[in-house]
Amino acid sequence: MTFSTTSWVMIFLTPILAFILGHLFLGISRKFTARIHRRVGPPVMQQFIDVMKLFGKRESTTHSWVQDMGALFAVIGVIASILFIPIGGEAVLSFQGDLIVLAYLLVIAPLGMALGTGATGNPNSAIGVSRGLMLMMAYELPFAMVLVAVMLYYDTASLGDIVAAQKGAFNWAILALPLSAIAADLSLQAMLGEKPFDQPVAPSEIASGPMVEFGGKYLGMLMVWHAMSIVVEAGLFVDLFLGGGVIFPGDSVLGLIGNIIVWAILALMMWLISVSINTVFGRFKMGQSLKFYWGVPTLLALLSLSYVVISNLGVI
Amino acid sequence: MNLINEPATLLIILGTGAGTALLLWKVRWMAALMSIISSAIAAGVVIHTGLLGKIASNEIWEFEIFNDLSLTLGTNWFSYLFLASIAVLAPLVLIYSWEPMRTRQKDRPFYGLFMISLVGAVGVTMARDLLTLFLFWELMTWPVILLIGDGRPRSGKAMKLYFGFGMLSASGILGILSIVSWSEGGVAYTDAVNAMADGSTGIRIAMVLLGAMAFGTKAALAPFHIWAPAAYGHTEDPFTAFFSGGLSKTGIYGAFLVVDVFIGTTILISYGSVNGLTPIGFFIAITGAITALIGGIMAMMQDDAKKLLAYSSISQLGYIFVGLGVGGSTATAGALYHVLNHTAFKAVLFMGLGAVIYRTGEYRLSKLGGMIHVMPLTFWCFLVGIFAAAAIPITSGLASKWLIYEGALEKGVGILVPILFLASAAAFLYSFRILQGGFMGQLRDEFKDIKEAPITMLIPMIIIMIALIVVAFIPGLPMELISRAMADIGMEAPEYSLISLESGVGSYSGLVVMLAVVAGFITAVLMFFSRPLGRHIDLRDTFTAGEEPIPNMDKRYHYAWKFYAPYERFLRPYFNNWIGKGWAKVYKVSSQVARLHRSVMNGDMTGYIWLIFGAMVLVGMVLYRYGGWF
Repeated sequence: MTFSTTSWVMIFLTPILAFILGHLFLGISRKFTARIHRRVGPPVMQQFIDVMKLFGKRESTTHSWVQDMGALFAVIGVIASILFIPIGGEAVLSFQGDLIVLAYLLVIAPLGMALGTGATGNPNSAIGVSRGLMLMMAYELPFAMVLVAVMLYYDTASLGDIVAAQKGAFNWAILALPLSAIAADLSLQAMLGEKPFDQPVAPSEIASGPMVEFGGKYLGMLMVWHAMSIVVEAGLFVDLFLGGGVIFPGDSVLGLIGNIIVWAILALMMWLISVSINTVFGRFKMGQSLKFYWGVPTLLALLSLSYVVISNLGVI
Repeated sequence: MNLINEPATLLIILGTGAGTALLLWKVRWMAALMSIISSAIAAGVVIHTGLLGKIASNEIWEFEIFNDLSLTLGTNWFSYLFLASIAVLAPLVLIYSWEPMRTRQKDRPFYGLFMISLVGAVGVTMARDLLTLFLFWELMTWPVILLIGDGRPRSGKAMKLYFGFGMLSASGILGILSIVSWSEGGVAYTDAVNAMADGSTGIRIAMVLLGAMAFGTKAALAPFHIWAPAAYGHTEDPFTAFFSGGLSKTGIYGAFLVVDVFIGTTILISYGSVNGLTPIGFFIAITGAITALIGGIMAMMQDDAKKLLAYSSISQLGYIFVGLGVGGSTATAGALYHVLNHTAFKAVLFMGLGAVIYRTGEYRLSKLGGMIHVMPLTFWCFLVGIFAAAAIPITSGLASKWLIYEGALEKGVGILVPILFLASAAAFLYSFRILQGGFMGQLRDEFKDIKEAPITMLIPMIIIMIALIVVAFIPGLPMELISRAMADIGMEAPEYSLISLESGVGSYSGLVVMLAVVAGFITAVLMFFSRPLGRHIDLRDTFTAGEEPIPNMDKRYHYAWKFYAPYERFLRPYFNNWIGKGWAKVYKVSSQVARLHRSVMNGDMTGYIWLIFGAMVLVGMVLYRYGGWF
């Protein structure tokens, strides 16, 4: 367990970077959606202003100490998980816990937040959480198959090694496992909670679901969590399929910064793909999402997985 | 001090406790005290011997009954792992039982039955021949039947199911015993190993199937699992923690015994293997994965909290079978690790739920709710248990599942891991359902004044909770025991240090993960407490979009009934208890056979005399023809 100076710097910088990127992404997406709607839209910095405003509120209300704990858990989970995602080829902590650990780390935040929202006593939040969990079970099946296919293809569970294996021109996993990549992107839509899979929040039906009783700094904490989790999830896709954004040789500081910028641009691209789907879709029912995810994406992921398993056996 | 090499000592300590508890069952506090003391001494002996490392693997202690027949006992590190988890759990559960049993009607010797069952379970892990195993197995199984009837509707049916599957399990062991003694002339474990080495493929397959029947039943492996939700759901609340956490482990122990000791890797691999994965192993692993999935999905549809935990137990034990089937150092270590983990977290879950039931008398999630406000300590213990069951990284639960996943990935079994992932997604769903239904939401008026669980119930829960969290920092600690256990069944443990585990494809450093969580915690706390704390408002003061969802809003509104309704609609047709219906068919056929039997055994004495006479004539003819006696 030896960390270089760069790693130490990255451990401290990563959460800050994710915080800035997340809010920037959300700001850009609001502008992006507005332009599709032919509106002017809020300024890109609006998200920062919103969070500052929420934390600046003089008073906020809470129903119990578990609600406080839920808000804390959400931010704890997302900060812990961002540290295990390689950024620009720099594997921050990802050699200390591989993809399987990450898959379970990702759950701390939503489950913790669900605890906090459940404690508010508002039935709308319980409905929202139940929908969120059901959605998770829906996309977990194709996404797990994608993860397994990638892990078996590179014969490692370490995300850092997977990124390193994609170094070089045209070595990205999206070219080697295109079907997996499609299935993963479809799963990403629900993971990010964008339409047609925004049932957990569903403002017009269940009054923003989990967030209904959250205001002031509590809502601020949840917004920080939401912004950072976008970076985590889009970044995970970039690391899995788009070579982790490694274009420049990463041994110099300048090259690392360049890689981080490329990584951020690719993550933004994945986020904007999801947002553009969001703008043109309505909302599915829960049963429809389950049928959708256990249909086409699962089939694609299964095809890709069987290809990897069979080719690993050396038959073809 | 070398007590455990005389396993008799351990059995005498526990047996004394059991005997006294049974004799003095009318004086309940005395029975409780005796069983707590004797089981605590036994646990102390077990821990002491383990810490000194004085487990002599090859010493066998014999107790001669007849000329040729002797019971043999002994321990090695492998059985010690199971022995320790059962023996250490028992006093905790017994202490926990003190308060809820104090006020219970004195209609059965709770402590006596508990202790007999404990003696049986300890004996099973120490047996060194199949006959002794069988005797202790029966001693462990039958007392429980009297603890199942809890007076709730359908508890009689649960009792019958347990009885039927207990018979199935017993006949499985008898089948193994007869195969071994028929082919080798002895019943010691070494004879069983020889029988498998000399035997044909048919005998080996029979051994696997009988093993699944005998031990899979106890460990609730599909399709032998249907007794478990009924039995766990209807057992006396305090005993359930030991029933699910402790006794089910003997089934796992037996399964390991059959697969890894009797048959062994060499024979398994002789049937061909892909990346070291054998056909029999794959069969076991896929059965385990399906068990995990069925258990998880059924658990998330339950409103009865005890049944939910029972199905969750089935699901978790499925993971262990996956580890056993996949085999190899990583997955086997994961399976053994999960034995320890499951013992701890399932005990704490049933204890926490038992505390809620003790205070409220209610076990339906839709009727509970809001317990965080009145039982916060119980909630914390329960929460850590749930986190461990769902393998959230801040508890020890992740390490074992991680090892099982990595083991499957090492062998390139592509299909197992997604099924397990789906099962663990179902685990998040049922975990949250029980938290939301029981502890979150609005508090009912009639539960406003209930108190925190009594201190005797809290202490065992807190001990287990602390253990679950501490091991998350140092996931290598249980590996000390597991690596020795694996050495005794001829396997090599995966690489590990105190703070991290390694597999062929990845690594998991518990300390670093926990430090990352702590870093997140510090940041979040700084962010959170930079502003003043929120003002507390009443639970009913919630946003309802300007409407009253139900007239007269002073009634509460708790969303817990059919929590995952869209999924239930979708999945019910596929999980419509078809395994149960299959068993009902088996029951129908066997009851027809029994009716035939009953038509002969009709209580008419002349008929019996004719039967006896006929049998004597028949025996005489056979002896005359083949024996040459006359």
